[in-house]
Amino acid sequence: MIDDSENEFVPWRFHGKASEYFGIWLSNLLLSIITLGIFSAWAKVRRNRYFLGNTEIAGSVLQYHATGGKILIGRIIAMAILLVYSNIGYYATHLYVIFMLILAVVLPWILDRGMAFRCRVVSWHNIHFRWMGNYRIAMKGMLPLLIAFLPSFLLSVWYSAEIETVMSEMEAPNPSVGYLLAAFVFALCLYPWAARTMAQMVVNHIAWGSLRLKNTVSLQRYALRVLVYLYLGLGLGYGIGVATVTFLLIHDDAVINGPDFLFEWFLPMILFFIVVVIPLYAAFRGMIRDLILNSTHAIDQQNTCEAVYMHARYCWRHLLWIKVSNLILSIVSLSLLVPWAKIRYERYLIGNTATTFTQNLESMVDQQQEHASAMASEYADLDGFDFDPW
Amino acid sequence: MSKLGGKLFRPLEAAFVEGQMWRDEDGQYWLETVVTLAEIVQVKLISPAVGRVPNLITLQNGLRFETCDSLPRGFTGNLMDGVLRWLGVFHPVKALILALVLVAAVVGIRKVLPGISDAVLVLVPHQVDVILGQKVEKSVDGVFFSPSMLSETEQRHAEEIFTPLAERAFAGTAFAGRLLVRNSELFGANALAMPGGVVVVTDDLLHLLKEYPDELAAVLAHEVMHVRARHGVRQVLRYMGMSFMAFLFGLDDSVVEEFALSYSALARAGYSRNFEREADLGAVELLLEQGIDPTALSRALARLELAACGEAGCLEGSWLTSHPDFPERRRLIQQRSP
Repeated sequence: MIDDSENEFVPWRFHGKASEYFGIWLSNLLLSIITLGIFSAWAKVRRNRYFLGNTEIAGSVLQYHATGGKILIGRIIAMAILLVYSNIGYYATHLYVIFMLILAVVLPWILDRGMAFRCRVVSWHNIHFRWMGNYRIAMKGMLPLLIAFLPSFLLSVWYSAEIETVMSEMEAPNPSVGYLLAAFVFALCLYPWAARTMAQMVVNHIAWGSLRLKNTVSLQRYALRVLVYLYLGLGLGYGIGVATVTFLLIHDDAVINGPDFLFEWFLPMILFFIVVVIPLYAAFRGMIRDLILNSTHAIDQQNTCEAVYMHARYCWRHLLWIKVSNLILSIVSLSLLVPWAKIRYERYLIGNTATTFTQNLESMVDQQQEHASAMASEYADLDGFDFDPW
Repeated sequence: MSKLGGKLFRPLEAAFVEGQMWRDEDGQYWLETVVTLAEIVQVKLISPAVGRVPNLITLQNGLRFETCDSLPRGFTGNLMDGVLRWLGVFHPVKALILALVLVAAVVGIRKVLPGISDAVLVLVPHQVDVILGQKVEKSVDGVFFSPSMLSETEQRHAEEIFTPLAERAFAGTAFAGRLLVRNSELFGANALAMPGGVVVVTDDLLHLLKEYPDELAAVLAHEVMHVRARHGVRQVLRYMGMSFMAFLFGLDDSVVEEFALSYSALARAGYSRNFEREADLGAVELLLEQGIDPTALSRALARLELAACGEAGCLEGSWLTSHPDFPERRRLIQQRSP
């Protein structure tokens, strides 16, 4: 693995091939269909094993150890929670608020146990990654996000409850929309700080043997990326889409008077958002990943010295182009090019990542952990609650 | 049997030694390293073979053997591994099998899922329709509809036509018919049914069918039959089934999820068209029971088409639309009318 020479710069390598992954993807899909979706838990294991197993760092690949059975059980429980959560608001607003407050208390547990599971099931060089966090740490990391979004959430629930009453009594529109806008702006202002706190909490509690990751990104640099790529880039793309659709719906009589305007407009609208908004979001995520990686190193806790430095060299134009072309080709090919698109994207991400090792890691010893939860990890996946630091 | 070359890791250590592993004809696993002689070992777990990803073999004593060589046939002794390996290599016959399975799955979902959700419908009390209807009414009334501009007399006239139809159709159910006359710029001349018994009719529609009470009765009968056949709740149940399937499949791949969700929307449109046909046929029966000529529905549709799309008629309905096209519906009604 690492020789004794100092400061060895090691680019990561991705060996995945589209032709090979096509067969895996196809068999995953086929068996998922035949088993009415049950196999998809095992398909996830095969997919993760393929992508991690083809990621080579310093002569050794990452190994994925999760089993389909555990993922399936976790997925079913997580789905049940999600079903309750997504339907409860329809029947009683106050129950929804109570449920969300309970969820706010439970979320740090989900984050904590989910990260423990995600770390534990990945190993490199026979040593498993380890999660060093706990409920208190997770809560501390998430608190800024909860503070940022709580006013918007509570106001939007109150506003929608109000709007129902007002509409049913056929009165003038509710004036509280101003408060809602203020809460939204408050969330936007706090988001860079909250997201950076969260990302740092996650990165800083990942360990491998006696190495512990440490992220040092400054708030200014993080906020600048959020401002440029999320608020300006994604905001502009999304805004143009919404404005165009709204304009057409208001001004095009033929559209409004047609008996099926929702369905006539459904596909173009979905296509626009898939082809524009998803790539813009991916570019934002990529640039955040770039920032986080470039400001992360690992400290050997035995020697209290810096042992590993991470590097990334992503370009937003490349990310955007790869995502846009991938999506268009995936749609045009009726999803047959999805495997090729995934390999292409992963090759870009991995191929532009590198590590500098300042010491030999061969003497490293694993320190195992217990009590990780597949359910927490699956819930996080289902709810789109992505706690990868990038 | 061929030998696998690889790295042998001691438990929980990053250090390794080079070694070889193989399985003999008796099914015994052997291990030999550069520092130890060949010996029989107990295999605890073999990672699933995925492409050319290095395989990890966990031994009973915690040792791990990582090999980049592909496992020979029969090495794991697991039938599923063989099937997955076979499926993973492209062949035109397999592509054909996949295409057939996909077609069968789509047909299955289109045909079986509605059957399952309709079977579940029996377990859903009528009260759910009523609650659902109240919720829908609350969320659309005032947003898409404003109070009617018609006179009290005109509104009462519509109600007089509606009440006997609703009473007849809802006999033996928990539904209570209620007609709302509303003004709507968005919907134009239109009528719609909400689960539980509320039917909304627009000023434009009443104005359009002012001189033709039979045709108004026919349109209202169509809406009443939507309620009677519980199309609202059936739509929700089918949507829940589709979402569940989309969830299960979608988790494998984000783009597949997009497709699954788009497909579920298209399928909903398809179900919706079937519901329209069902309501048309139900209305024909109801009108006959009330002693009204059912072809009035056909005439009302022609009048609506003229008002919406002019002399040229509306474009042919497509697979994206929620209603079948007008000529098709008129044909069906004519066929069923005595």
